Parts: sequence; C-alpha cells; structure tokens
Amino acid sequence: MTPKKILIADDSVTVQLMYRMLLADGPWTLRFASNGRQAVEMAAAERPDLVFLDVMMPELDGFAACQQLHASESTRNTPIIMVTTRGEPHHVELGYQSGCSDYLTKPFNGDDLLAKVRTRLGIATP
Amino acid sequence: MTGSDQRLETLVVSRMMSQRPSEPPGRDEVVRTIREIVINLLGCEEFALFHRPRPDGPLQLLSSMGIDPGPLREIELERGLIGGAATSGQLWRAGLAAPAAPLPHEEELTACLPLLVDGRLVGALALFALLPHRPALGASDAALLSLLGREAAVTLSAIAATHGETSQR
Repeated sequence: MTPKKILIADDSVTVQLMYRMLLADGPWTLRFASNGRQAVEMAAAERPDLVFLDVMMPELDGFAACQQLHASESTRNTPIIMVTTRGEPHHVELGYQSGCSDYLTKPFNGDDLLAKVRTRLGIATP
Repeated sequence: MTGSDQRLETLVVSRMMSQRPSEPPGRDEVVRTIREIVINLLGCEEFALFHRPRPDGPLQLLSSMGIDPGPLREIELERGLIGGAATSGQLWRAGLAAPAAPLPHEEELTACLPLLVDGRLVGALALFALLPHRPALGASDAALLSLLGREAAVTLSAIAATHGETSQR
C-alpha cells in the first residue's frame, strides 16, 4: 500500500517535533511547512492526502492558507484540519468558513490526533 | 501514564536538551522553546518566567505573556503565592494549600513551579489562566510541568554560567 502523505504546517519547531513523535507509527509519511505560504506551495506540488494548518503562522495564516487551498483545483478536495489554541465557537466557525474539514484544539493528546488522522485517511484502527 | 504522555515527556526533554550544545544558544531561544511548550503542551497563554541573578536575591522577570508584567518584575521570596512556592521548592497548583497569602495580581494563578538546580533556586515558572477550553491541570500535566521545570532550570543555569552571571559563580 502506498503510504499516505500528511502535510503539517506550523512555525513552531516544538510542535513539529510533537507531530513527529505522536505520528511516528503509521502508514503515512510526514512533510512539514513553516508558514502558510510554504504550505500552499507544498500542497500544490506534493498533493498530500491530509493537511494540518496551524491558525497562527507567519507570512500567511492558517485561515488564508485554507482559503487558497480550497480555491485551488488541485487541492480543493484535500481534507484540511485547522489547529489552534482557540476553541471558542466563533474561531471554529471561522475555520469552517475558510474551508477546513475539521478542527483540532491545542493542547491535543495523541489519541485524538491519531483518531482524526485515521478517520480522514480512511485507515482502520489496528 | 499513556504512550502519548510518555512521548510528550520525551519531547520536552529532547527540546530542552537540544538547547544545551557545547556552544549554548542565546537565552531568547530557550525562552521561546519554553513558551512553545507551555502554550502547546500545557494550554496556557498567560504565564511568567523568572530567573534569579543573585543567589540571595529576589526572582526577576525574564519573560511573560498575556499578563501585566508590572507587578511581576521582581518577586520577593516568601511573599505571595509565587514567592511562597519558590521558597518551598515544591510545585504549587490551584486547589492545594497556599504556601503564602496570595497577592492581588495572583488571583488567576493556576500553578507555580520553582526552578531548582541541585536544590538551589534559580528561577520559577508561573502559569496564570489556562486556555478557556482547558480544564484544570491534571496529574499528567503536573508531571510534564515538573519535567519542563527540571530541564529549564538546568538549561537556563548553564546559559547564565556561560554568560558569567552572579548566581553561577
């Protein structure tokens, strides 16, 4: 089976390392972007199966990056999970308005993260 | 402890250890890493980090986020929750017996962790309000916070020694 590709956009090295550790085991490969603009470019070039976008990022924030991905023919159908420390309803609504498929609030635990990844990628729990 | 908790603890250690190469980074880089861990792993965007430049002196504010730094620039030991927790050498969490009478600016304090190296107080980390969706700190959070404190104390102390600060002489 070809490994699924997951693109993770977050400007924090600590958070990138957290994803690496929590998603260390699974039939997927991880790619990382450090800002929204890089995420949009990488998504267009590499066609990931799933994208995580942090809301607060330099150059292009997660909402704007999500809108661009949603507007592009090549990435329109890619599931996008917005990630933020802001779990208030109006922030969640903003995320869905920008075109995201799901929402994850920090801090998240590994089980929640894995459940969302498996659901979005259609991978059964082992 | 779950596998997820263990991985987060490994993350804290590895991130802090990576800040201790033979050529130590600037303190700003270490402070940024501590901020990232507090925000993203503990769910707190209102906190203060203190150091103690003189071994017999007060705590001094090194960095803060989301709070008024004014009343926190200098913390006398044994005064208030932060000074009391620092003196006790023990992590204080809301709900536990207060180590000293709280000061007005400490009403929102959730936890205070003394930073110790070989039993010597070198700083403190004070967490104020947690994120709105975040429940109180649980046992695994306390373990993670304590681990962060141990690693941060050693790293900040090493940097202070490199820069020839008084407390390390």
